[in-house]
Amino acid sequence: MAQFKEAWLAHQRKRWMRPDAYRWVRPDYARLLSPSERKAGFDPDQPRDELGQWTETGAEEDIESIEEFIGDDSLLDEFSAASIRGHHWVPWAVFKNLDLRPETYSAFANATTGPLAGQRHGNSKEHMQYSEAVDDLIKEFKRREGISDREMTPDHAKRILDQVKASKEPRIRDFNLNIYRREVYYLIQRRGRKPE
Amino acid sequence: MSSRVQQTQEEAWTTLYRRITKYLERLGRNGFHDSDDFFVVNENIVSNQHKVEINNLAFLNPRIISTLQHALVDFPGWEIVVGLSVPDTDGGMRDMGLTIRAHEIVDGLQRRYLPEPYRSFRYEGSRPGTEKA
Repeated sequence: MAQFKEAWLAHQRKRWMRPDAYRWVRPDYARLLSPSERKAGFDPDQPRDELGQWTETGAEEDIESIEEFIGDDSLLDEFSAASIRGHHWVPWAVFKNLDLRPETYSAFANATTGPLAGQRHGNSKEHMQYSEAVDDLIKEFKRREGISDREMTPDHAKRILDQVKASKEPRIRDFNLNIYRREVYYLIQRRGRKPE
Repeated sequence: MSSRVQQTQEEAWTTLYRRITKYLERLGRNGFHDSDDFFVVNENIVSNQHKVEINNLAFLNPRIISTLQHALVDFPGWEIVVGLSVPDTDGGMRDMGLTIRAHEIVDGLQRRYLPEPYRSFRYEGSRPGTEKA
């Protein structure tokens, strides 16, 4: 009987769903998605064929689509943690997908260096490597403590943050040292320019 | 920096981050693992820069870079750094990249280390330079 249901569903999709139905999706649809749908990269803007199935989009087709992003510049709450100025000891990319208690999420979101003045982005993939290393650190912490994401308390978060700051793992240590060095160098340069 | 100026910077950062992320996520997977195509750095640590670290060299496609440049059209003074690492002839990894500005692209790709077809990529309005240019 399952094969008939699938055929019926396919017929209904084709009958009732326009291939360009994505044009009627509200711009801030992401706030209405479940966490699993967001993780899967679900994108209702993606065009469908006549059967209602998602179609592939190539770079050529997407060149003009940047326009739709320029018109709608509404801020999304999910980016508010990342936008806080300063280096997050535990990157937002690492903790945003964990099923944390709100107070634990806040503990990570608010743990930053504060605004930085002497930083510039170089070409290395240091952020990727740092994030991966911190992700590994948290996984190891949870394994040792025998806790799930939901069981992680703000106190656990503080202990993780302390481990990150004291880490001798080169991907973590060197990244944080470079941030520190650039700030010190910037302050020395700035102080050197002050008139006597 | 006053809180009003800081708020404006955070808003600009978030708007551009959203544009870059939403565009690139239609083409590939955003994340910090080796299996991901690219990573849009989600730390606001440079007042006028965003950064995309790429694993998948297909994201050096001139049309993608041109679209990212277009995203800066109403953010004067902002830049997008596209960084990557490729194996060099000494067995190590070589960092290189592009700095995208609204009016130019600083091309710091060291093409002798890139395989085809990426070695042949050319960017309209670009000039050679490094991340410090």
